[in-house]
Amino acid sequence: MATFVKEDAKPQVTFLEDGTEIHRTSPWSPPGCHGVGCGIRAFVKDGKVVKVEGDPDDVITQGRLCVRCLRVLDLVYHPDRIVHPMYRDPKDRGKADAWQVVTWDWAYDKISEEIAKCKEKYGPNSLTVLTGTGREAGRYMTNTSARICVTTNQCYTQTGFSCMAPRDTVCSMIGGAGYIEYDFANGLPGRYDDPEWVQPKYLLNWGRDSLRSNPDGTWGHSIIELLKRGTKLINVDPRVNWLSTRALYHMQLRPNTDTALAFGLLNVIINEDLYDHDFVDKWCYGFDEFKERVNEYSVEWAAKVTEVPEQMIRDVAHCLAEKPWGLNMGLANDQNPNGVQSVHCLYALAAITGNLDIPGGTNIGWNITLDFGGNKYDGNGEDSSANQKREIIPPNPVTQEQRDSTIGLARFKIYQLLLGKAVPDVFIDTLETDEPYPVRFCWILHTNPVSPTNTAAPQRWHAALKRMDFVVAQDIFMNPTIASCCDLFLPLATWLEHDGYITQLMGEHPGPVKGMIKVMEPLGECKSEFEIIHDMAQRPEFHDNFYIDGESKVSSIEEYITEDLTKVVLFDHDWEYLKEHVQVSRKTEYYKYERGMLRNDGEPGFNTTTGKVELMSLMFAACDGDPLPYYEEPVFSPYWEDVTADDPLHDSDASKFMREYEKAHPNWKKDFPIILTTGARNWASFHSEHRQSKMLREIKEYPYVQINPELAAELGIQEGDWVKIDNPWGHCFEKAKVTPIVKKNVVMADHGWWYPEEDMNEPNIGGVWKSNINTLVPNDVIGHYGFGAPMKALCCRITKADKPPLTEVRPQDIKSQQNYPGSIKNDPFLKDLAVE
Amino acid sequence: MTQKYGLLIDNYWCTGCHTCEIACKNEHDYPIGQFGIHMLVNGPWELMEEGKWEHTYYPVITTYCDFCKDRTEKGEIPSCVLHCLASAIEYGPIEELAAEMATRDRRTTLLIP
Repeated sequence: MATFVKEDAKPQVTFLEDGTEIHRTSPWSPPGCHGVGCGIRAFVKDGKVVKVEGDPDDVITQGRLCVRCLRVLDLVYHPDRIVHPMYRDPKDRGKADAWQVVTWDWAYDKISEEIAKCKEKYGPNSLTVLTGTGREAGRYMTNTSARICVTTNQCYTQTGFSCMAPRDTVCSMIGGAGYIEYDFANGLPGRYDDPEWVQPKYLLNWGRDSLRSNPDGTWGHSIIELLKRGTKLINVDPRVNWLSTRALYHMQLRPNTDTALAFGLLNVIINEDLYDHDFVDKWCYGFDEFKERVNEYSVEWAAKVTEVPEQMIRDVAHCLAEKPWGLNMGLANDQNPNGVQSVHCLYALAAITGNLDIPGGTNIGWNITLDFGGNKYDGNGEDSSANQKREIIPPNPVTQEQRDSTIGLARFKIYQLLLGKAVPDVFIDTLETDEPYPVRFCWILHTNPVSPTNTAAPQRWHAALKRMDFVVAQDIFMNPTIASCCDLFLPLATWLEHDGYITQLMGEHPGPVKGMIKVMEPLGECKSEFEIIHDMAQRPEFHDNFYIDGESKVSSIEEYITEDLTKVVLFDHDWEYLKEHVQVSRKTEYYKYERGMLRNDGEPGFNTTTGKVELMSLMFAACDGDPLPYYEEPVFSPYWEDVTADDPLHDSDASKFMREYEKAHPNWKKDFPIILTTGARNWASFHSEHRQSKMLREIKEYPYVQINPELAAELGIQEGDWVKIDNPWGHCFEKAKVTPIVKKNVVMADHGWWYPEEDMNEPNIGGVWKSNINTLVPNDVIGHYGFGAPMKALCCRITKADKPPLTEVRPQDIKSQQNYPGSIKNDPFLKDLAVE
Repeated sequence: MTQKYGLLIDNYWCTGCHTCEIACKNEHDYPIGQFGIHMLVNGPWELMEEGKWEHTYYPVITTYCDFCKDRTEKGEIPSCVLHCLASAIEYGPIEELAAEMATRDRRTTLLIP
């Protein structure tokens, strides 16, 4: 694969006159963020990092850096950061003062003993490994699940696996390749001035707040660069967020009606003959059937369903007939039981307008999937010719019997084919009921399921985790999950304290591969995720799971990264080369389908059974679904009707859920008339993280729910009031932000809130039940394939709170009550380094 | 007369990310509640022309601002300019910035402390 480096970049380490070292490196986690790896210059004096700045030599960010990294030292040196392993007897779960410091050796012995005990008592698959969103932990998790715990019940806990996997899976099923992403010249040596690049006429931004989130590894403010250069923005969002005010068209759709809107656009493009005949003839399969399906959904209908004016749909469709344009497809497509179908439509939209893989259009990701925990493509001899991705081949000691018994796989074929791990909505039932077998050992990899982004009904996960015999968690801070449910705390090294690497969009897209190069020695006894795996691999009981032909697969981080880079990322360089240059870019390749760059056999075409983009998808048909997309009304909408009871091809758990619910609660629409959307991102935090930094709390001190002024007036609610948001599944308190950016019947509530300054004992555990919006999200409201849940289209009612759930203080007056024996403040050698 | 310097802010493209505030605080160790540059906001409210909105961020500099003297003396740019995610802040001689401002057609401010 062609690569290039920035020739005039500064060396990795330089020095100031006073001896201060300046290290170039790239962040990921912990503390968490998506893996963009925004270039960093870390200033080190006498072994301490004294300042963090942006690196002007970063080819993407060019020195720009957001507040989360600018204040990372608040977290690295926070007095409450845990820097020694700690143990608490499981009978003392929930007690903040019952932790004691232990050695790593004791911790490893204990883990090994508990794994053996659990397997002996409950069977080979009675262990689970939980992971969060976007973090570096995901890169190594298969080692923890398949090679240490030797279980296939690894679980990403979010209902409907509603983050990236649905989008990525659809791209893989329809196009046989990686994720599709707008072209921001990320893999061209001359960036926007490169002769190969063409300025996109439009950016179609669909349910993605990139500016705050840097979603999935794409640098969000590249949107601003495109717009400044003249690209016009078409924004699809239920809120008039700032980006919408800078758009040529803002399509303010009703939450979760995305598929209807996409059908409206497709209808105009197909029926007004605005599509690219050449591309469709050569590279699309099933166009006639697809067209027939599209014609079932008229533009007038789409306008009515989505509340987007018909003329705007027509105008936007005409824009999309002009090449090139980029598709920026967001999380809102995952957090929707009908989202698989919206992604199908959007992929088709980019394809039939001829925008796939053209300069300034929408790039097709390479067929690369990192070792992200699947158990399917592990060299067990199965056919990997079509619709499947290459994956590194590690030893994988799990048995076929274990694979077959993975929770939920029998029900959901897509999970079987592409993920090979536990289905979250089925798994939570298993944890509660022991059916079909108990799961009683849990390893939590840097995620926080009780104050979540990543779980629906966190109250259920809280209770389920308490049923475990043993729970080990690794993190940098005590959090409500660990405080209430865990027995062993393994302290993690931050991204300033360990080596690693970062690729754009899981390695599927061009642009810089970035070196995370250790800047400082880990504080106390902290270890990286890799080091923990490395240590466990040396133990005789796990040794054979990591060694092939006498050679360890985790002998050193240097070799591990080198192997990943060469075998998986298809990169011609090793870790030493990456470390020397800090960033090495993989070149953007256009028209890969014409150049034989997508298929394993090197022939032109797409890596699907038909060799084409399958507008009519053979893979969906193989997964017991409709090969064509279709619209489903959001279940919590006043217009929902039960139309799939006798239609197994389209019926879903979401429909089943509402069928049952409505029978028992015929008046629910009157009681809960407001549409609740959650999950919008904030500048000052990555989901439930970063709340320990007072400076970041100055930016966002408390959680807010956005309420339209008319609705607020009707409810007697004023700006800044604490309000109660409730629905049949839960309730929480947030502050009112009265704003016209949401429609009158829609509110948007912040997620991931807890208060590290509060009492960490049960039942308070950091105030986690006060503002926990996910308690209002039920499980099992998921789409046909087990993907997609309505985090962005729930129902609720809102009332002014009788009294505030807490006493507000100014950020500078926040006083932590935490006092853990393994924390920086209690380490005599480190406490002087602490800063707050 | 000594050369006067200023900051030219492209308010139209300022995304309101707070980076300038924090970059400035880091450089100067300002406490919570105090700023060398402080982001204010106008809007969001809908204009009388339906579908058009006023929503603009206005970073303003305070009496603290010394344009990062320690940095600029070494030939570096002020910290807020370096880090601004939207690249919406420029630093330079006031006449040059004023000339640049004359070429802009919407919501731009020129600031001196």
